Amino acid sequence: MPYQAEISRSNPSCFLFLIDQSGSMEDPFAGGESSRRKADLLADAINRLLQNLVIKCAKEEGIRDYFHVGVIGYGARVGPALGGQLAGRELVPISDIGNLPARIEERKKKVEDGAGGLVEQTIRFPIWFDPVYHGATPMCQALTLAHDILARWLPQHPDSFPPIVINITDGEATDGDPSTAADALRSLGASDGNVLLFNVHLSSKGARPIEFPASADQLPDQHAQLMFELSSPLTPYMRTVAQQEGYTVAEGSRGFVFNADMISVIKFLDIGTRPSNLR
Amino acid sequence: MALSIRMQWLPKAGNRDDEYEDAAWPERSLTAAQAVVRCAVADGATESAFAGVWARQLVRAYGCGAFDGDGWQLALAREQTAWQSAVAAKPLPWYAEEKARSGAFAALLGVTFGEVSDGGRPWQALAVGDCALFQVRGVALLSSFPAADAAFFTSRPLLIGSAPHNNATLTEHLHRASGDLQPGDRFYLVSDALGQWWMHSLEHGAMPWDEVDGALARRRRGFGGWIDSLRRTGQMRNDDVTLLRVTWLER
Repeated sequence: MPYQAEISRSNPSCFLFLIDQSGSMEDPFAGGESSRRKADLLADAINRLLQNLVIKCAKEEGIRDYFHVGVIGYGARVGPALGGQLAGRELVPISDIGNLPARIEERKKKVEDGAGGLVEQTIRFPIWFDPVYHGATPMCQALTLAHDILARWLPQHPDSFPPIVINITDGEATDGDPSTAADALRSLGASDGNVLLFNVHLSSKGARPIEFPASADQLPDQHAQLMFELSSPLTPYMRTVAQQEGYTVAEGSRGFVFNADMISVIKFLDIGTRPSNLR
Repeated sequence: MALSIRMQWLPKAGNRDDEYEDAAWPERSLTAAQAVVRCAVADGATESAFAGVWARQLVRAYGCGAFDGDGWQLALAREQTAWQSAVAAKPLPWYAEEKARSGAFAALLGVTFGEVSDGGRPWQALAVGDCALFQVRGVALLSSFPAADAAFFTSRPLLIGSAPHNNATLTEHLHRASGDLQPGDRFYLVSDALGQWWMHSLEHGAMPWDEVDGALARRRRGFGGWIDSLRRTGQMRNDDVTLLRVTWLER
C-alpha cells in the first residue's frame, strides 16, 4: 500500500510550496473578504501553513526535522522565495524554518479559559512572507523548477513518504498550459508513491469555498477546473482523517481547495499519535 | 501472597531514551506485598509537547491512589496545575509556547488490585485512550480492556489533556472494568503499539502471551531484541513500547 511510509527524522518527507506572486494577485479577493487582495490572502496562507507545519514538528526540546521545506515564488522571477538567512536556498530542514522567520509579530487571540469562557491572550506570530504582486504568472516554469528540485531530492530519500507540493495561485498561468509540467511533477516517485501535487485556488470570483471536491462540476470557471485537474487525489489515510475532521470527501477527492485554505492537510499527515481532542 | 511486577520499556526506534514518552507505575520491576497494589501505564502523544512529563504525572498520581473513587476529577485538576507550573517555569520559543498552550495529551490505563478475599483478589481498572490491559488465565484470554480488537488502535484516540479545555468529553470516554485475580493469572498492561500487535496476533489464532513471556524469560536480547524483530518485520508499529506484567506469587 503506497503512502504509508513512516515520517521520521531518519526518513524525512518534503514539502514544497509554490506561491503565485504575479501582478494579478493585487486584485481583490472575493471569498467573503472583499477588502483584501489575493496577495494578502496568499501571504496569510503560506505563513499559516509554515507555522502549522513547524508546530506539528515541535517538541519541548526543539523542532524535529520530519520535513525538508522549500518555497518557490513565481511572478516577476521564478526561484527560491525564503528570505533572511534562508535566502536562495531551495530546501531547508523544518527546524530552520521555525527558528528563522523574517520577524515575529505579537497578535491578540481569544482562547478558551477552561471554564466555558474565552480570554484574550497575546501570542507570538511568526512571519516569513509579506504580500508580493508583480509581473506575469509563469506557473509552468515554477512547476518545472519544482520537478527539478524534487528529482534531485528523491534519490537521496528513496523510501520517504512522497513529497507534497502545494501550489497557491489565482490559477491563471501566463506561460502556457501547466498540465504537462504538472503531469511530469506528479509522475516523480519514491518507493512509497508518487509526488502529491495539491492546489489552493484564490479567486476574484464571488463563489463559495469548495474543499477537496471529487469532481470539477461545482467549480465556477475553467481556471478552477484546470487547477482541479492538475491536483492529485487525497490518499486513503488523508480521506479518513478528513472525514474525522468533518470534511465531506469521497473516493476521488482531490487535494484542491477553492477560496479556502489548506491548513487541514497538515493534520492529514501521520507523524505519530495525534489526539482527537487536540484542536 | 505478593504480586510480581515486571516492567519493560523501549523508545521508538530512532529516538533517544530521553525521548521516550510512555510511563509506567511502578517505574521498575519489583515485588509488591501491600494489601492494595496499583499499576498504571500512560502513553504521551507524539503530536503534543511535554507529553512525557504529563504521562509520568498521570501514572504517579494513579499509583498514589489519587484517582481512586470519585476524586479523580479533583486529582486531575491538581495534576493540570502542576503541569502548567512546570512548563511555565522557563521561557520558550514561539513554537514551544504554542504547543504548551495546546497542552500535552496522554492515554492512561490503571488497575488496582484489592485485598485478598475468598482466595482471589478483586481488581478494578480505568482507562482513557489506547493503552490496554489483558488478563490471561491458563491458556485463555479472560479479559481485554478497553480494546476489543486490533481496529481499536488508531493514531487519533481521545486522550487526557493537561489543558482543561481539551477535556470537555473526558467523562464519557473514561472506561471502567473490574474482575477477579486468581493465583496463576497473568496481567499485561501495555501501551498501544504492543496492544495492537497483541490483538492482531490473537485475531490470527495465536496466543500472544506465550511470545511475551518467552521474550521476558530470555536472558540475552530478551524483550528489546524481540521488539526490534517485530518492528523490523513490520509486525509492530514503530512507537514507544511499555509493558507491565503482573503475576501472583503463590507461597
